[in-house]
Amino acid sequence: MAETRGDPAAAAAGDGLDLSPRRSEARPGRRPPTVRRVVSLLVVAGAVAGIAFALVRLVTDASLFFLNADEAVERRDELAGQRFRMQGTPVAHSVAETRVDFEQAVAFTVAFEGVAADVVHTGSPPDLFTPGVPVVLEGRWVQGQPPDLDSFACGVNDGYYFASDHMLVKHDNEYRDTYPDRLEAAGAGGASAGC
Amino acid sequence: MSILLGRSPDRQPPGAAPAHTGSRTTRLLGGLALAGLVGLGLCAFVFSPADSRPGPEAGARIGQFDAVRLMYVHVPAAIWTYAALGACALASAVYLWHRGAWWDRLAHACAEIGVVLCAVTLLTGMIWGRPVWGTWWEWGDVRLVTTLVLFLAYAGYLALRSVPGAPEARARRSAVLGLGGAVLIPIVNRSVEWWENRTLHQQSTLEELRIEDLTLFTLVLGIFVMGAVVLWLAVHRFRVAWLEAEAESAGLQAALAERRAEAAAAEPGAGAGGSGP
Repeated sequence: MAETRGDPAAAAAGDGLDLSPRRSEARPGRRPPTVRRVVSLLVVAGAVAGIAFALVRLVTDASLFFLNADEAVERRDELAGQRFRMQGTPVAHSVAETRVDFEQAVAFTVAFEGVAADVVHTGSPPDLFTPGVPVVLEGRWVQGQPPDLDSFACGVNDGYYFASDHMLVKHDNEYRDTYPDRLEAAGAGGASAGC
Repeated sequence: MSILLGRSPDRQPPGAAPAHTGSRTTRLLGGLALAGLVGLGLCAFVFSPADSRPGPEAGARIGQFDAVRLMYVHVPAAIWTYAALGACALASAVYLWHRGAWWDRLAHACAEIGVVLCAVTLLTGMIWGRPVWGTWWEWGDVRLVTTLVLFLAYAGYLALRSVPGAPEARARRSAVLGLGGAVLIPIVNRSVEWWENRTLHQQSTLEELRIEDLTLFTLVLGIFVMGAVVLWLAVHRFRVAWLEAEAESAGLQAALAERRAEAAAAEPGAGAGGSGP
């Protein structure tokens, strides 16, 4: 439906009428146009600033860019000393509690596409941390054996471990109770590798 | 158009503003939406199971457990955010083509609803993320941040609309922004596929149909119920926008009539009020 009316203000201006708004005519409870303009433009500026801030954070926070465990193992020499994120699925029966510098820690092994890596995570893991559910870990490769741990149960024990201090659970999009290929798929993802 | 205007030919002439925002159709739609919400609540909180499956270790369960119930609001809200903002972009494009106020008001109504739904999507996602991921928010997560950008872009659109000015110019610049902002919709929607290793967000469950039985039914019910709520809101918001425009126009006409009367009265020899002693 098209607007059928002409512009009455323009028509009136053609009549030579003084159309400047009168302050006394402001509707009660409604802010004056100048205030409304300033407030609206401030909100627009806030939205633009918010978008710019979010995009800058997205681009600069490259730490979330994570490598899958198989890539992290393959590029271990290149990543030596660097802090990065690694994704993998904790292997069944690999999780063990330990301590690092008197802090609570958990040692386990993650796997992706059949390649496994040992991990020591310092601090409390998220509530849903459990074997079979992928995690994203932030930390760095360390050569040697972790303190207070002789070996990783079901681990690769190859002289390196990933020292993590930040863990997020990365849930998959599976909601089927009776998913027939679940264990098979978990194996492909590496969940059953290592033990 | 008649459902949006809610006019009845025997009561109102074509093109006239609606007398109120309710009609038999919207009351029926509202009733259906309300009944749907009750049904959705029952399915989501009573009948559907928590997400729990056997894990790789004997006796261990994995899943999102009760947090999955947020999905029945989060996913429909996200889908209808795309739909509402997509409709805003479409209406904006048609406005730029036809210049009809009807399309401008439709774009406005859709944008408002889209922004509210986008806020619901962000909030439910954050509430879900805390127990499931272990974090409320990650600035480096491409799905989260692009959704926030979408929200801010259309919140800015609404703020720009409220800047006082000539209605035609306001409608034109809003339409340009409403149409341009739509480029964000496919970016947000596809971000989990395009930047798979820059997001904690899972890929689409519905596209791959990795869901079944009552969980699937409840999710689909949520999408339909949210659709009914969105349609009901859109019709009412459109009618309110139409009434606002009519009130603004009527106010302007009254002010002009008053000024003309004053001008006529001020002319020498015009009427009793204008005659000198």
